[in-house]
Amino acid sequence: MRSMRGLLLAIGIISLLLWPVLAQDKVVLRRNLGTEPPTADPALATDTTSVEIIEQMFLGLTDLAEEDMSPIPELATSWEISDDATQFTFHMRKDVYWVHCDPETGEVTELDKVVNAHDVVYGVLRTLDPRTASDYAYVLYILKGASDFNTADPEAENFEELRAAVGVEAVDDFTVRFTLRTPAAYFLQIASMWVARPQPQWVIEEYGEKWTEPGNIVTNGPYCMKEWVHEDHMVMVKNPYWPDWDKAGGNIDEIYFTMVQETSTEFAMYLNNELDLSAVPLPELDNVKSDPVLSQELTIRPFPCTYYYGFTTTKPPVDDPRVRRALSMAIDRKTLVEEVTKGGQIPANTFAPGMIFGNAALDPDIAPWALPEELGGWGYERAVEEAKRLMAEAGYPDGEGLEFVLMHNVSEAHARIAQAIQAMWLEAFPKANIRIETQEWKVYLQTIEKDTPVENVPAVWRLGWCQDYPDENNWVHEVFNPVEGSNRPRMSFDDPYVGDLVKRFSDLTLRAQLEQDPVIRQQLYKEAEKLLCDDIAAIAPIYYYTQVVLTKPWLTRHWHDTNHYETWSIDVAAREAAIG
Amino acid sequence: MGKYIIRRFLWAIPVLLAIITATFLLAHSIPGGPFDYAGEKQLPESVRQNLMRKYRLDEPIYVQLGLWIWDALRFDFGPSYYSRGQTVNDILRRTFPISAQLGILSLLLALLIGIPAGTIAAVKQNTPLDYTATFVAILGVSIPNMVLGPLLIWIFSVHLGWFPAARWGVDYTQLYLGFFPPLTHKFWSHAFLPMITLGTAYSASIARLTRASLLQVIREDYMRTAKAKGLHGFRVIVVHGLRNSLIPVATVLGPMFAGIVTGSLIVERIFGIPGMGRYFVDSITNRDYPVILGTTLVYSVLLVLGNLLVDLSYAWLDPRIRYD
Amino acid sequence: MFVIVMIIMAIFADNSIIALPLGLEVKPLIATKHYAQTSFRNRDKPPGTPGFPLGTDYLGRDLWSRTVYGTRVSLSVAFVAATVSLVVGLTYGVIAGFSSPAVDNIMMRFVDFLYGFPLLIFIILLQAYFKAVSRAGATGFMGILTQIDRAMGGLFFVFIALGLLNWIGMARLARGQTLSVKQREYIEAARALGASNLRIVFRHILPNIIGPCVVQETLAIPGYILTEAFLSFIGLGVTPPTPSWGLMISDTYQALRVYPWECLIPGAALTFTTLAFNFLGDGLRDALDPRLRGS
Repeated sequence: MRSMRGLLLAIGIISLLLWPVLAQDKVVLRRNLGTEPPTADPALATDTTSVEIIEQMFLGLTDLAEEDMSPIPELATSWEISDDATQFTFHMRKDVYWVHCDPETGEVTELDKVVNAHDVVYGVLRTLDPRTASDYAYVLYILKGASDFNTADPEAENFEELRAAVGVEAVDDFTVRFTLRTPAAYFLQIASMWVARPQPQWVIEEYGEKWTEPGNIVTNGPYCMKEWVHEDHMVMVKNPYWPDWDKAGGNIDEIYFTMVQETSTEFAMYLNNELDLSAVPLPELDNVKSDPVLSQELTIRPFPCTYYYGFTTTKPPVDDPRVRRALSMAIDRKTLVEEVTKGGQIPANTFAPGMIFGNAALDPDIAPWALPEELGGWGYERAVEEAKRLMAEAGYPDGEGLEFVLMHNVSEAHARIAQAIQAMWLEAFPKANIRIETQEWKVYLQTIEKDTPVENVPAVWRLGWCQDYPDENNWVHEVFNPVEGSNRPRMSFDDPYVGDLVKRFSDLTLRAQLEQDPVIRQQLYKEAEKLLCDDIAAIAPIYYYTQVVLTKPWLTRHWHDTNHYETWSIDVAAREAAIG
Repeated sequence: MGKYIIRRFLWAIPVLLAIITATFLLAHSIPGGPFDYAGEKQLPESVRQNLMRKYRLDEPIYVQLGLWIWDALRFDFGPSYYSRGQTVNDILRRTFPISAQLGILSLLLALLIGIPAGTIAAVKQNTPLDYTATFVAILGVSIPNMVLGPLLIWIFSVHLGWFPAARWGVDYTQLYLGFFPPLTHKFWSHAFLPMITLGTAYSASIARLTRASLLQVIREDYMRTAKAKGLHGFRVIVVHGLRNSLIPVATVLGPMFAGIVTGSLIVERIFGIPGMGRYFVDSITNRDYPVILGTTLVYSVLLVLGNLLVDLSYAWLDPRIRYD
Repeated sequence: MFVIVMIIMAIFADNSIIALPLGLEVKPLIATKHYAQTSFRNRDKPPGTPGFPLGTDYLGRDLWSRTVYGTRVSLSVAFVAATVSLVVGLTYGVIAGFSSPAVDNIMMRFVDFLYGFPLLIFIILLQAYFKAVSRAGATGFMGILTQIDRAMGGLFFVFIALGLLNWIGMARLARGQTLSVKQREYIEAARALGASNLRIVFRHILPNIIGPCVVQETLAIPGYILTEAFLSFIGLGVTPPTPSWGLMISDTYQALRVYPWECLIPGAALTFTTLAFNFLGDGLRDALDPRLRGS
């Protein structure tokens, strides 16, 4: 104990002595993005990499809490929702300024412009402007008049009128009001998305599409862009004028993003101390887990995405819900995540994972056969017995006469999973004839679209889904509602087996969309999940994603849905000591 | 000579036009378009329309081709559909020099090792030296880059810590005249492993070619004459023989030059080098038509230039060859 | 000295000659398991594990069997592509060389024209096209091709792509050889004796030029094998679970540090096969060209 104290004292003295030296050095976080971000423009981003860098530079009206992804204040300090949930009024803070970062020196200057309601209105309208051609404009279609404006011909005479008719207005300089097409309790989450963030009009008008280049770009978030050497690296520096540094508590002065695609190379760089955090290549996972040092640095966390197999419910033999349920039951999810995907993924029994508002993940009322015993489910042995019984009942004893195609897009990871599941199915139904086919991504998506002729669609196909915003509406409704959603499983009210269940499912997700009481919404969604994954069994959820990350011991981090580097900190002395 | 070069350039025009047209048609006939999906989400028709209009994809296909060629004549290769806000020119300007540096260095390394090795093998034909050289050369040709690269990273970077594991030593902002890298320690330490990986196969095939053709030349009459005149050994071979025997080597150098310079896709991927190699495949996967066309055009022009240089070098290597 | 070259050549030629019947006929007997048979309990086992002499891969598939089947893929790629390129190139070249200078000129201009094409890009594009079209519910001619391709585990289109790539060089060589042989006295003699053109081509020209052409083709074979591996590596080659060495390497090269055998075994197979063909080609050339013989 005594020597411990002595050691601490010594460290304290040394760090005090080193303090002036260290204080001069910037604290740099080194992280690999894995790819060149396709864009840094909030109106155009669609992928997680772009969103990650945008998150550092642009604030939203709301932010998502680290723990449960519930909307919390960011630019807006408070908001009011009208009784019918169609009007959302946000009151914005007045102390956030636009800043500019000098690409040569990295010096950040505060511009004489406060981020205000007009910037938000401009941002929303620019995203919706058909000339911007934003992929994600449709997320804002929930606003009144947004869809009309986005689909208008820019040459048309009433173009300006349509623009003015969009349901977003600056009530005063720091109050912005959104008017929705229909009630939507989840609009607070949409308000956190990048497509609804303030954008600097004068910069965009001056530089056009090049406004996101370093030197041009003007931002308002905790970091701003100093360098963007495309395809090689990006440097972001701390924005000292961002008002919430004390609250955030991080000490990262500069982030150095690399863009190395190969995970095995990224991993090697991590081992070489060239990176502070890294993903783990699949084959290395066994080793990392058993390595005394690396296993300490490994973190596995749930991530709000779901991997699932969909059934084409109009295509025999999977038009019979018994066959679909039997197939779903015969997937040994536990073995799959332990032996094939290996990243600590969680066996899934519902579509939406935990953390999504309204989810019923791991609730053993729903498809208990998908869950291992320790999670309150049946366990595989019992599930596979039931699967065999159901399959026999449906007219395919031991899989005799059962013949279908399982398709996935070309990718090594998907191939591993498909081959594993094919093997499980063949073990449960040895006489079945199951073929795996693959297609290239873009073609694949077209093939499994619901308007492809049914003879060209595979009976079983794989997809994954990640949240745009953390609400079940973005999940069961937008993806599967037979009327308004994508509905790739082709569920139909006329289904001879489960038509009335499909009708019920459709009503449930529509009702939940309008409902404002969170408790009732939760109940509605739970029933919808049960219909989708158990009774109708239009999909077989397989697992919930995880993040598998190695973090150097000197880095203390948080786990927001998108990294919030302003909350991270690095123990520089420890890093110096380790690297030498 | 000048006439010859002009004729070659004129001949290149229809070739390039045909290449562009064929690439364009082939690329467009691959099912799926650039703007059908954002990730896994199918885009609403309205959003797709906006994108198609913005990038003029709603025009008839021949108009699109014409527009692209017209722009390309003024060295404007259009916008990238995938990297929004980037143009193909941006992409080429920053990735081509890096691929070219890697390629030229590897090629120089290959020549530096290949020609002497081949010469030694030929001079000492059927001695253990020859067998060793030949065996090593053939081994070099036979090891695929995708095995050699990770192996070298593992040994020299992770285990021994001699070289950085990945990336390139300079970025496009630090280049002189937009092309030449500062030859710093950092540059070389990053360049070494990829250079070896890429250069090995080429040096091996150059060595083999040199050996084979030198063996032929050594038996030509003029070599006997030279020997008869009392000239001896290495000097004869290097002065009289090697120059002539390099013709077959030069022949393969043309296509090799174009291939190696425009990025050895695999090496760039394994070492995380920001060259243009990945665009050859990624642009097709993304249906990023202007990038497909731009990269193809660069490759084709290099190929034309490479072949021209080779033909011209014949005249230097063997004065009996004349162009008119 | 010549003998040593011959012996080296013979040994390595033998290797590939042995590999041939193995790959095409005997191998299914040698392979102990089906190449797609998985077994999770036995994944990532090192060589020497009972029942898996060379170990298993990430899905517990027997590496020995997969490598043996991979031989079949690589060798069929090598021989089919070589045959296609030899037949097409030789025919084209001989016709060009034997015809009137005007026809020759036009035909060779076309070859020059193609020579300027960036063929690797075209292969990538073509493969992407084939792979996309062949799955989008193709009908008619494309549908038939797709059926063939599927039956061959995705190999058919690789053959087409490789064949398209490589006949050009062969055509140039064949034409050059034909031109030089055409001037020889014995052709004059045959012509004087009233031999038909066809007879001259088949009795006198072909036998005299086939040697160098075969040698050139043998030397090109490692290139085919590596190109197939390259295509599989970038995801445009054979369809999994068809075990091609290129595919096996690209699936597992990330595991090099943990389960090195998964990558190194197919890598070694690839290396040794190309090695054998290279020695065969070199040896054949040395043997056929008297000037290269040791003195």
